[in-house]
Amino acid sequence: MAKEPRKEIKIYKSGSTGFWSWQADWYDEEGNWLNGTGGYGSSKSDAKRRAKEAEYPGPRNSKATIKMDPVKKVSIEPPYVDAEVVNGYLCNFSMYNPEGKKIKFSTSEISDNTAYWVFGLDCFDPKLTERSELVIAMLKIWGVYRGGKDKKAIMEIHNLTEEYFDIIADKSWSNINIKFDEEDNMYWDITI
Amino acid sequence: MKKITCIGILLFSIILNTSFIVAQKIPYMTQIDNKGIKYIDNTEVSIQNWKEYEFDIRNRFGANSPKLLSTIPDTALFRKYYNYSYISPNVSNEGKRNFSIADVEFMKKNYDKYPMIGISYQQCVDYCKWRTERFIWKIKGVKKIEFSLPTEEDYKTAEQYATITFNPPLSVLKLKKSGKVHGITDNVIEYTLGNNKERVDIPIGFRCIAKIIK
Repeated sequence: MAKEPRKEIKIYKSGSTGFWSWQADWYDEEGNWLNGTGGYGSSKSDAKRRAKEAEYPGPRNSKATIKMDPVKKVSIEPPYVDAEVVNGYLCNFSMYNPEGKKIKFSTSEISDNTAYWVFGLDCFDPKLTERSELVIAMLKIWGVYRGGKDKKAIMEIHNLTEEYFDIIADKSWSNINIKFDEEDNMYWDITI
Repeated sequence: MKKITCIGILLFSIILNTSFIVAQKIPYMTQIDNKGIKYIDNTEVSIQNWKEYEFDIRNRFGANSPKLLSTIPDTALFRKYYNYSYISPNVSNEGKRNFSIADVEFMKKNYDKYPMIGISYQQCVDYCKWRTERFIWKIKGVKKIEFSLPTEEDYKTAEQYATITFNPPLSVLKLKKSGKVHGITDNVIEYTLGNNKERVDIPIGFRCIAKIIK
């Protein structure tokens, strides 16, 4: 059973406003940062009290939650994006996969229209991209793509049900965990 | 003789009083005029300053408020120049993120040392408004202090009060409660009032000017 997160507090006088400022950060037993919060107090003692009373807001750093789990598991989160735009056209973009590794994509690998879908931009045109392409793009970004071009092949190779395939293509999940067994088979746990 | 002593004391107290007006200090800022009305931040606004601003907005207006959302910087730009992800106070619709150990270390050890970047001109203007509202340093004889972005002219004036250095962009801030202005001639380039041209090819920061309203 996971131990209660360790809390670290910091109190200082803000140079920009003159308020006593407080910050509270939580760490797991291995010292991984989980989450943090902060604010102003009306006095030093008030700031200290607020920091002490601040409640753990729950884990925010998914790297830490992966480490805490004994099973090999990938938690899917909205990706961070670095986009390079040249003359108004998307040229390439990089993202961090769930293991924190930076992966760079060019628009020849993931089309710009698919990339717009990934970013959630209004200029995405669903007529220009097959749903299977969308799922492939997402799997690539998550670093779990193993092959397959059409829906059937993708589902088979990645052990996805039709329902889960649609959830990915519709981006309607709220949480996704992928577990891998000893033979590296994938098991999906998707919450809408 | 008594009369002369009295006049002397009176004159001395007047001088003391006048010198107090001129010498009144705003912490972490330097006076850049002869009237004691205009002050400029000694350094650019730090990442820590920005984080404080976000925490305050979140605590007052909520994690879902448009006010908080409007404070979120361009995190891709931040990472592009610092090589670390910006860890902001989370908004309510944001899920878990992948912050590496290095990101967290940078937050813990360096947010107060480096200039904030990845923010727009409008975000800087909003920060100045917020600072005007929230500033509580007690400065004797001063009723109100108004913060804004410095004009080009303010910058030129500030150069006279600055330590001239030529450090590269994203250098460590020389944060001192009193002393000279730093980073006017180096470190990140900064927004000035009315100049809202935004660029992504170089990191842009900002600092505030304070005007004393007597």
